[in-house]
Amino acid sequence: MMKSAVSFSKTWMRENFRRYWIVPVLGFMGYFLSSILPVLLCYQRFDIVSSYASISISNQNPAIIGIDCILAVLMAVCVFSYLHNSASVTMIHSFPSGRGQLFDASALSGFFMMLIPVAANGILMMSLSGARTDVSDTVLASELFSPLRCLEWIAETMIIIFFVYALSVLAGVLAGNRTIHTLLALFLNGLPFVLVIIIRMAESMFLYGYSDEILANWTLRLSPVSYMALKGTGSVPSGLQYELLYLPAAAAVLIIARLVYRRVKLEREERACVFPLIADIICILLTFICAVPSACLMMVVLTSGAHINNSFRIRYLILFVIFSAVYYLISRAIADGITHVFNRSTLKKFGIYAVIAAVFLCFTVFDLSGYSTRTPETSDVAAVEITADLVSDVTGYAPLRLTGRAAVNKTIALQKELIDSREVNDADADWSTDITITYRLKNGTAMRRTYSCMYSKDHPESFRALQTLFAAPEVIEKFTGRISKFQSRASNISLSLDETALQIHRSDWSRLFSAYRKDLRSISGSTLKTLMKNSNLYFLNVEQGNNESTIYLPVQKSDRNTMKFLQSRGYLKELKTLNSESDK
Amino acid sequence: MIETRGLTKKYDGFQALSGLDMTVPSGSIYGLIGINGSGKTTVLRHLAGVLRQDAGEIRFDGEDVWENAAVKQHIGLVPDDLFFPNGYNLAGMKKIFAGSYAAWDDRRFHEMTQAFRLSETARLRNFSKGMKKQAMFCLVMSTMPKYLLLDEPIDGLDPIVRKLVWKYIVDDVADREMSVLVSSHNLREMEGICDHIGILSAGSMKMEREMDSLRGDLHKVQIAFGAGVPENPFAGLNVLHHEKRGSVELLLISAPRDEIESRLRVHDPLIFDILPLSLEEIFIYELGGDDDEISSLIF
Repeated sequence: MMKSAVSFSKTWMRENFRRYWIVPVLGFMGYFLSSILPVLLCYQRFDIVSSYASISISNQNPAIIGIDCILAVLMAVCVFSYLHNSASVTMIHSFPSGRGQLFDASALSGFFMMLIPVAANGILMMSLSGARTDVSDTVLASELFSPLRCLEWIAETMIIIFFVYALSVLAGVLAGNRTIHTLLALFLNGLPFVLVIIIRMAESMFLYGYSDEILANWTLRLSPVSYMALKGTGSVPSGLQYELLYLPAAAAVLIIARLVYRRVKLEREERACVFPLIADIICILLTFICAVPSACLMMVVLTSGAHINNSFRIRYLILFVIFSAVYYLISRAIADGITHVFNRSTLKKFGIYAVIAAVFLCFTVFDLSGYSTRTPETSDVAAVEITADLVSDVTGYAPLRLTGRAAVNKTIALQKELIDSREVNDADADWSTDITITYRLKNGTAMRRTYSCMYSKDHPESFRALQTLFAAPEVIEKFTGRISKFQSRASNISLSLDETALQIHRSDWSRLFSAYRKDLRSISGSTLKTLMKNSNLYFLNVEQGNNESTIYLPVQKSDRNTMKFLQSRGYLKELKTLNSESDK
Repeated sequence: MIETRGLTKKYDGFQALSGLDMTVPSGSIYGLIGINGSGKTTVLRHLAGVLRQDAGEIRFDGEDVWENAAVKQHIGLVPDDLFFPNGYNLAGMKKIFAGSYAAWDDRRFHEMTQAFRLSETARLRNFSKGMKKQAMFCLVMSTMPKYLLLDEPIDGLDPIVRKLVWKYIVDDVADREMSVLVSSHNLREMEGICDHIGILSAGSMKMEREMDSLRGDLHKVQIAFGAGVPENPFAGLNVLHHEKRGSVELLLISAPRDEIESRLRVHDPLIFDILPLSLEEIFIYELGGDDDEISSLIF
């Protein structure tokens, strides 16, 4: 009996659905338990779960992101599991289909199986829009779970899943067995994070002033998983239009996986990695990723915060070499599936690793590029941004941006002092504050350094440089300008002492801010010391706009004008009374 | 017809196939024999389009098999190492095969499963090794292949089932001119079924012949001449192997039987036995070790 219009692709997709239906069911249960059930349980008291619901719908819930990743990796391992067994490889590839069609059928079936629980959960989320609360100032469920936001959640979740799935599919084509497939999928997806952590660890240990935010932000944007985390911090532009960029990236990964699949030598299945070159690359990466932190951690344990000197560097190198050799042999044994890995071939490949590691060490341990001591020329700097803990309250946690030549010169002078004082032991310092300097250069690049600026009686030079900078007219103007901005957007102001707060009458605001600005203009070294000691007595809590944010301005004894005004209006006395009553 | 020309494959430094030339005529049953590790399974995997050769060609009636779904529609492979997805029964596997092969014959499938007494609903993982093989055989044969590739098809099968398997194969060869390539170590069984033989050694074809001409050409001779041994009694005969045990001479001669008889009887030997070599003996001779080993196995 002849049958027409048969299709192995459709048959294979159908069979994948039949075999792996449990995975989307589990995925749906995970999403339901993480996002829907908490709201259902508090349906009449939505205020209890509104924050949780908010982070869930905006794809910043770690549990949901975890489910996304697990679902994608698991699905890829399932639909490509036939590649990792000699018998199934023979049978499946003997069916009437080209490799490309087989890959498409497998990949598509996995994709659709992941879409089902996400779409189902997203649609169910719309039903949560009726959740109620009697508490005012709670974000409305009808806004959070509007059809548009639920559709956005579906789209964002599918972007994450699709990306992780694409990398996991590529891992499946490269790997020779299921275990390595799973590990390689996790490795490829986690590689940006791991590399950032490793590089940060090594460079912050050896490169004085190392500041990695630029590198970290760009590296962490390589994956939509980390992008979603950064979205909440405001350090990346947010919006579906930016997230959609991950789709072509994921599609490109799948196309590469398909091309590789067509070329893969199936006789190598059941080995760790079907492509010897990929196995070599992974061994090198794994060795590097394990050796760097191992050596760093061991040095921390052995030296307990000693300064970086040549002795430290040599000990680090020795540890790095030992750890590299050990980890390389282990990864080689896993990749080759044998324990006897001491041979010429292994030695040659280790040599390649040694060259790459040597380059890294030269620029890290020995700082051949001069990172630690480099300062820009004033003429090259377009603007400088300064973030320092001790003035973050005053600046509203935004960087202080300076463009004047004098301010730039003083910043460079401060940086030079900080570099010269790097040998000063932290234990000798009386107080310290972290300071980040970002130079926006005229060529469009940025140079950023982070230091700990210490006040030490025996070594006051860097502190004096900081004081000189903060006394600069442009800085004072920026400080007072910020205060004026806070004043213009103030909706409510209170004075607090410990846990007690007292409302400042609106009629007093103008004179209060005037006094505060006057004190800022005469910011002195003793003021800075006090700020470093963090022994602020009072705080002015300035609420901005309609509950948007609150600025906390420190008020110290040395702020004579502000203290005098508050004293004259009776606020200090009243607050002290309230504070002692609350203590009782 | 199935043809390979210059088929070469190397992996991990090991030369699996080395310039293999092979021809399986249409409507024939071709036995591929060779020692362990000679490359039989590798050949079958190449023919099924699973592996890609480093060099050479594989053609089915002139068409290349690699990435050719149309050709693979007509190829049925019963591998030695079987795979069934977890939890599947024959009914489930039937759906996969029926949905993939245009020529699938449902009626034949049911007829075969009944003949082999296989349950379509029982889980395949509960089948014995032999039953799994039968199951795969039923599935593949129900796709009505034009080209059937079998890797150790009767390994693990009882004599009754073996007979049934060969019956289906021979019937399809006769009815549909199906071309069959079977690799097996059971040379006695192959001898009764195959009409072509290829002996594979170290990845290349050592000998490829029609069975009839093979039997017709190689003979085992035991001869003793008595007191007057003639000088050079075997002149003109293609003697492949010759040894003496006392007064009896043992030979392997490649020549038609009539010619051997006519040349040797003139010397009036005391003892003269002439026997065709079995396939097993041919295999041992072609692939065996030195003369001592051959003679101990054959004579």
